[in-house]
Parts: sequence; structure tokens; C-alpha cells
Amino acid sequence: MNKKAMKRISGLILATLLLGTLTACGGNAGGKGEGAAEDGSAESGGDTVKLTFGIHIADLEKQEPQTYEVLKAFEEANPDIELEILSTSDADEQGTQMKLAAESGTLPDIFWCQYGIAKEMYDAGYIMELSDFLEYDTRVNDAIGEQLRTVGEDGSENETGEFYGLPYQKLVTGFWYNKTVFEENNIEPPHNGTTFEEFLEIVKALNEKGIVTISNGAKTTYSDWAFQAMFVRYGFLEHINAIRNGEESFVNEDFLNYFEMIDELREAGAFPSNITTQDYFQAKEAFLSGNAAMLDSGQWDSAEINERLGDQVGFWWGPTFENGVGDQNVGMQAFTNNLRVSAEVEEDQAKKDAVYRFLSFWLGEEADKIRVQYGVNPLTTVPEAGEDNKAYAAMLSAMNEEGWSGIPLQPDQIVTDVIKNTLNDAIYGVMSGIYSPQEACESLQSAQENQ
Amino acid sequence: MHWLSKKRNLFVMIVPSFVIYTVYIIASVCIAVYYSFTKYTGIGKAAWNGIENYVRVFHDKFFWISLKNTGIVLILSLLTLTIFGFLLANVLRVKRRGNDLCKALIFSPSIISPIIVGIIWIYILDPEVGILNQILYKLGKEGWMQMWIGGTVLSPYMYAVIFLWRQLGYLSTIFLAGLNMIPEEIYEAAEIDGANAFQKMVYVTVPMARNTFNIVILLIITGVFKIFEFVTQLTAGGPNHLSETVVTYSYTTTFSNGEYGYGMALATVVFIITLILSEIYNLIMRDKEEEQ
Amino acid sequence: MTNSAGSKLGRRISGIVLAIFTLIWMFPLVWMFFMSFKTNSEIYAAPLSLPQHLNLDNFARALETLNIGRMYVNTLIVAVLSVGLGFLVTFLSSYALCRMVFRNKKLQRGLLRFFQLGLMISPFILLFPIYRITVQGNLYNSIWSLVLPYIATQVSFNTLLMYNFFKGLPAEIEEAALIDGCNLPQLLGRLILPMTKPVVVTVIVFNVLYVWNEYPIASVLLRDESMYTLSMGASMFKGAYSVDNAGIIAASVLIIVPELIFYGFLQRYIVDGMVAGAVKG
Repeated sequence: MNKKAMKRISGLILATLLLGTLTACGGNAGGKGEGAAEDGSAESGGDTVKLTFGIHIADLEKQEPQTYEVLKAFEEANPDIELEILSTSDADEQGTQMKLAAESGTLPDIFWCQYGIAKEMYDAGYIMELSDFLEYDTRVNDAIGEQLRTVGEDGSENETGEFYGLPYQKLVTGFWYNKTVFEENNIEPPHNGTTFEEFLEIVKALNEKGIVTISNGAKTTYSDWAFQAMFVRYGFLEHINAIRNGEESFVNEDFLNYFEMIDELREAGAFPSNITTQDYFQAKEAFLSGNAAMLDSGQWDSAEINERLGDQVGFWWGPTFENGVGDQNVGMQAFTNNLRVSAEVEEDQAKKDAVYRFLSFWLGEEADKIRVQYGVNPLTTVPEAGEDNKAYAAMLSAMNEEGWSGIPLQPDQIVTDVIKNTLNDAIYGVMSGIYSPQEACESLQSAQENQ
Repeated sequence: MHWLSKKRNLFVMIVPSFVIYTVYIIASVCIAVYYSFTKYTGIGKAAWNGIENYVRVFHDKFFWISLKNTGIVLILSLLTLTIFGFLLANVLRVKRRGNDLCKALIFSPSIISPIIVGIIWIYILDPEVGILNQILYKLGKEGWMQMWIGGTVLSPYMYAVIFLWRQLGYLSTIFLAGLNMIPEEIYEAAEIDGANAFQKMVYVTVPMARNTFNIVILLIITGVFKIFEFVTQLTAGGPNHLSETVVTYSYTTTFSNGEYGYGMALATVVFIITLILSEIYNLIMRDKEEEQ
Repeated sequence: MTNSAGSKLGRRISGIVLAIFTLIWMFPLVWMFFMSFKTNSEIYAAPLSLPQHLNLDNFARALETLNIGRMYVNTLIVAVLSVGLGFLVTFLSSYALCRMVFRNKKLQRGLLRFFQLGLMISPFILLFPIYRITVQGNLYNSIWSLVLPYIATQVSFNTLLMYNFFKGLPAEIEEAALIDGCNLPQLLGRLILPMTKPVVVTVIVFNVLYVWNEYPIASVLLRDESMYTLSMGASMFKGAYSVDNAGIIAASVLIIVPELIFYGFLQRYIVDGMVAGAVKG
């Protein structure tokens, strides 16, 4: 390379470095952040307090508009507080990033994080204990305080009354079903109270017409919500504590029955043939375009489903089981208390105050109103459907159905990450015919023993 | 050179590389090995666990499956990339008008981000949505339709195919360079001896390109152990970890399951395997060189 | 291969085969390009079809969601820093190990082998340790958290290439320079460096390609969206409850088209340089 070329290249390098420094210094966060970029550092004692909010959704505005609106509304109502949104693209990445942040002292002030990791963080002192908040906001205390204090996040009894997570959303999950598909094929759609045997008939009937009964995508490992609820009907919550203590095993009759039930569904052709190569969003698309009869999903989809299917959609909790355990008339209505507060907030009075105000707003009536507008269940108030969201109305009527009560805990939310992943693998494994029911249970047991 | 080779100069010249390399590569390996003897979730303290993790690796059927998958990819890649790369280079050697264009086009896949390569191939290989099966169907060859990905068997083969697609141009360019260094005279001599095209290739080109083969093989092996995004995009290692490679399995265990200790044990085992492979390779090369 | 008359037919045939082969080889890229104009439902419902119309919506969405300009700048900065510095430090160390005189020969050889160890190590294995090191070193979320590991991963490969290259240089060169009264910086800068041209291009190209497309280390070590590199681009469309395949494809096209154009212009140098450096070495 001759001198000229060298000069040119070094010039280019210098220019890039300059450009780089300029962009780095001058620029605001290129993403969805509001307010300045530095995380965690409090500018208290001054005029505005900056809070960071770490969330597991890449594009909050588009993907969870209700949450985005709540955050904006909070900022409007509190002009002296600025929120910066820090996004990761999914729960897994959020977990990894939050762990890293904890270890490097850069945890966001408020962030979403699942139980398995949060417990470790709490034990290591990285996140705040929150019962103090209930004294600050007595309204929330009245609404949900008891449950927070008495039930541990892992489903066991909370002996100390301490807790470290506040509700992020309610997991109301089950099957959305497309009434048109059933009508066109002269099949009676399921309703709350349909037994498994009856459901099996429906599956076979649909299968004969070449219609996928349950749209599901194995590539998204956590998208088996309705089946988590069904696991509760087979006694998951009854057994789990004893299993954790080593008194019982995952290989037990009830659990085997559960997986056998899934196996039967598979044999009857309930699941799509490409279940292993599609993800949840593809499964959703298949349902929305009329190519499947039912979708395993929950409240978060009500707005989109309403848009595409309007009043042609119904909501069903799933089948009841003769060989199930306990009350079968239960539907998943679990709070996920995944909103955490960094322990460092405790040190800074101004920040703590701002965080508490945020939490109050988050759990308050105005925020709940926003949520209902988007067809998402409120956290501390009683839901009423708006006129326009028919899908949400269908869900509400299922929630309010007589004789049916809510399940407060979803199996994969109350266990460690390893068990959660193994559980989802087990369920999808049986759905795709890769695991036998026995193998499913055994994989869970060996994961439990390895811990 | 003695005069310039004062200790101080040597020191200054070597230290930057040495420090960065030692910290990020050597120390990292040591850290990985350390954690492989612990139970650690990423937060709090790491608890000493002895060799339990390694015992578990031995019994872990997913590990053996991922090893098998990696082996399939490795062997297939070695075979296809060396043979086709070599052949392609031979074809490209002949002066032709479109040569440069073809060379550039075939090389281009290696420019593209592997994530995007993965995304492209999903839309080709997916049994339902991908066009491969659609094309087969339209051609009436329904019997040939397979679960290219998402099944329990074919996925590793597909990784090798995609790896081939991506690296062929790149590696054949290296071959081309090596071939271009073979002096014409040798070919002329061979022709005088009555060799035809095929014999020329086998008896002249191949032996003379030995050095090039070495480099290519080295690049293939290191490349195979860098395959990551193809797996995550195409199959997410699934279904149920049946199509993981050792690299992706170690990653999933560490970051998705939060089992950092066990994940590092897996990583260390992979590292030992690559060490052994490279030693074997070196030995073979040394023997061959001595033969020469 | 000589161009004797007998192989003219052979040449023709192989030419045609080459052309067909290239077309087939390019098919996935071409297909993706077409797909970027389809809507999401077209992609699912009618995979084989050509797009209904030249739908630019996907691109609009892609641009909206991704700050592509910024990502290009970030990637460029990281690439320039890591490849530039990487070349510099390995140039110095490889030359020292190859051409300079060590009191302790064993040390010299030992260091060389030491540097070669890294060749076989997959960077993914090191992901977790690298991030521990980054955290301990207080580098988290800065550009150096990426640049330093990238430099480290280049050391082994660069050393291999450059060491072999230097080995091939005739000894007289340095002797002549020394007689002329050169000092070390002058020797390196004025004499050796220019001669290293063939390897320089190879090294730079190999490493820029790697940095450009590197994902796992970037995904773990970068948190600020404003620092995201191109490789993070595609991953940003993934989300908890919705994904936009058409958008991902459009974003992918937006990312690779400039890459391909850049490659198109520099292609001759890249390929020729690789050729000279990689194989001579």
C-alpha cells in the first residue's frame, strides 16, 4: 500500500473515530428511551428523578401497548419523574441481562424478572423487599395485600410475610376458539364444563375435516399456557411442594395421567403437524387466518383477536378430567408478580419515593382503566368489558362464569428456571410425539434431582 | 537484528497482544474450567461441586446427541467443502469471461450475517412453510418431502448444507489461490508424459496443493465449532434438544437454564475435544511432512 | 490447466455448469429479496407465490423499528477499532516472534505455540467467562467491552498468517536496513509494514467479516440500544407476543444490501488479497 493509500485509510479511521465519539456523546439512546441514557444513577435532590424500567419486550409500544400507555400516563401525571425503558427481546434474554446487571451493579430501578432468578437475587440482596410498600399504599394492601403476604411465589406458604415482587399482569389463559370454523363444519364448540371425552370427540371430528384443533408452536417453549392450566387440574399444585422436598417424585400417577392425556390428544390429531417448526406467532397467525379451530393463548391477544375475528371468537378454559385431581372447574387467573425493585433504590430516598409513586400508579385504577381498554385484565380493580372488544368480553364472561374459580398460580412460574424449561420441554415433547408420558415425567424428575 | 532485539523492544512489541490474549482467551478458559467444578446460577456465590458436573455430562444423553450432531456436521463439511471447493476452484481456474462474476456471487453468502442466513433458510427448509417441500410437491415428488428441520433426524445434515452454502465460495477462493501457485511447467511436463485432464488433477494438482488443503481443513474445523446462529434460528436446538450441537447445548444450559456450572463443564469438554482434534491433525500433518 | 483444443468442449461444458451452479447457489438470496416484498399473510399462506405487489410497507416498518443508520455506525466503529488495533498488536508480536532474536529460543517457540492455542477455541465457550471478566473489569456497557474480546479472538489467527508470511521474507532486507542505520520503529514502519500488504488485506477482511457478523458476544455484552451493532438488528424483531416475519426479512435485506454493495466494490481487492495472504502464508 503506498503512502497515499495509507494516508487515506488513516484519515478514514480518524474520521470514523471522530464520528463515533460525536454520536456516542451527543446522541440520545437510539431506542425507545425517554430521558437520559445513564441507568441507575439517581439525580435526586434536584428537580427530576430518573427511573429505569427494564422489560422483556423489544418494542413495548407495539407489542404491549397497554403497558406503554400506562408508563406514559404515569409520566404525564408526574412531570418530575422521567422513565427510561430498557428492553430486551424475550424472557430468556431478560433473565441473562438482569443477572449480569445484578452482578455489575447496574440493575434497572424497576424491572421484570421471573421467580427463579428473582429468588436468587433476593437471597443475594440485590432486590428490595416490598411489604413496606403495602403500608404506603393501603388501597393496594386491601386489594391484594393478603395474597402477597401469605402465598409465596413458589406456591408454598409464605411464612415470613415477606415478598419481593408485585403484579405485572394477570395470566388469564385458555383456548380462544373460532366459532365460524365450528359452525361451518357442523361441530358443537366446547364450553366451560366440557369433559375430556367430549373434547376428544370434537378433536376427532375436526381432524376428519382436516382442521387443526389446537394451534400451537413448539419453538416458543413457554406458549403452552392452556396445558399448564390443565396440569393444575391434574394436581400440580398439590404435589409440587412435596416434590421439592424430595418426599414425592415427578413420576407419579397423576402426572403420568396428565401426560397420557396429552398423548391421547396427539394421537387424535389435535396438534398441527408442523408443531415443532413453528413458533407461537406463527401458530397465532394460523388461528387468526382461520386455519385452526383453537389457539392456546391468553388475555394479551384479545385486542388482536378482536380485530381479526370480532364476535366470532369464544374463550374456553379447557376440558375437565375425570381422572383429575381436585376441583376441575378452575381456570387460570394467576398474577405474575414479576415486577421487581432494585435494592439500591432503598438507599436513595428521592428515588424510593418516585418508585413507590410509580408502583401505586401501576397498581392503581387509572392504569387498570387503560389496561381494560386494550382488552387486558386489570390488576387491582374488577374488570368490565368495553363495548368494542368482543374477545375480551368472551373472556370476561368465562371469568365470571358461575361455579368456576381462578387458579392463582401457573406451574412454570413457580419453579426454578431449570424445571421451567424442562417442564415446557416435557409438554411439547409429548405433543410432538418425541417423549412418552413416562419419559416426560422422568425428565422432570432427573432435572429436579440435578439441582 | 541483534542490536534491535533488546529485551525492552521485544517486551514492548509482544506485551499488548500477550496481555489481551491471555486475559480474554487463556484466562477465560481457566475461568470456564473453574466454574465447571461448581454449581452456579449466575447470581450469588458459586458452590463447589467437585467432578459431579463431569459425571453428569457423561450420563447426559443430550450431550451425546449434540456430540453426534456436531460430528455429523463436521464430517459432512470436511468432505463436501474440501471436494467441492477444490473442484470449483479447478473450474474457476480456466480463464473465462464470467469467472470473476461467478466468483464474486458464490463468495457473497459468506458476507451475510449468519442470523440472516439462518432466517433465509428457514423459509426454504421448513416442512410446511418452506419452499423446498412446496417445490417438491409441485413437481409431483411428494415422497421426497421430508421434515428437513424440526424433525429428529435431518437437522444436523441441514446445518452442514447451510454451512456449505455459506463457505463454499470463500474456501474455493483459497483453493484457487493455492492452485494458481502451481507452476505451469509441471503440467506441461505431465502432458508430455501423456497425462489426461483427470490424471493431471489427481497426480499433480492434489499433491501440490497440500498446503492449501491444510489451511482449508483448519478453517473448516474452526468454522464448524463456530456454528451457532443456524441452529438457534432453524430449530432452536429442538425439538427437545435433539438437534443441538455441543456449542449450542452448552450455551442453552448456561444462559437459558441458568446452570452456569454445568454449562461450563460442557464447554470444557468441548474445548478438550477440539484440543484433541487439533493434536491429531497436527500429528497427521507432521507424519505426512516427514514422508515427503 | 492448459487450453488445448481437446478440452474446448470440456471448457464449454464446465462453463455452462458453472453458470447454472451459480444461479442455483444464488437462489436463496434472490428468494429472500422477493420475500421482502410480501406481506406476512402472503408468506404463511402462499409460500411459493411471488409477491402480489411491490409492497414497501415491510421496509418502512423495518426502518421505523431499527435505527439502521446508527447500527451501521456502531458496527463500523467497533470494526475499525478492533480490526485496526488487532492488526497493530499482532503485527508487532508476530514480527517479534519471527524475526527478532531471543536470548531464550525456547521462550520464542513457546510463545508462538501459546498464541496458536486460541485457534481451536470456539468463542461461544468463552461467552460466560468473558462477561465475568467484563463485569469485574468495569467495562460493561462500553464499546471496549466488545472491542477487547474481538481483538483477543483475532490474535491466534493473525499470528498464524503473519508469522508464516514473515518467515518467507529474505533476511537480507533487514540487514540492508540496519546497515543504513535504521532504528526499530523506522524498520517496522517504513520497511516491513509496506511489505506486509498482501497479508494486511487478508487479515483485515477476515476480521472485519467476523466482527461485522458477530452476534453472541454482542448480544450478551451490549445493553444500551444506542450501541447495538448490525448483528443485533434481526434479533430485535423477536418479541414476547408478536413477531413480524416480513419485517425481519425486510430488515435483513436492508442490512445485507449495503454489505453486498460494499463487497461488490472491494471484491477484487478482497479476493485477491485473501489469495495472496492466506495461501502464501
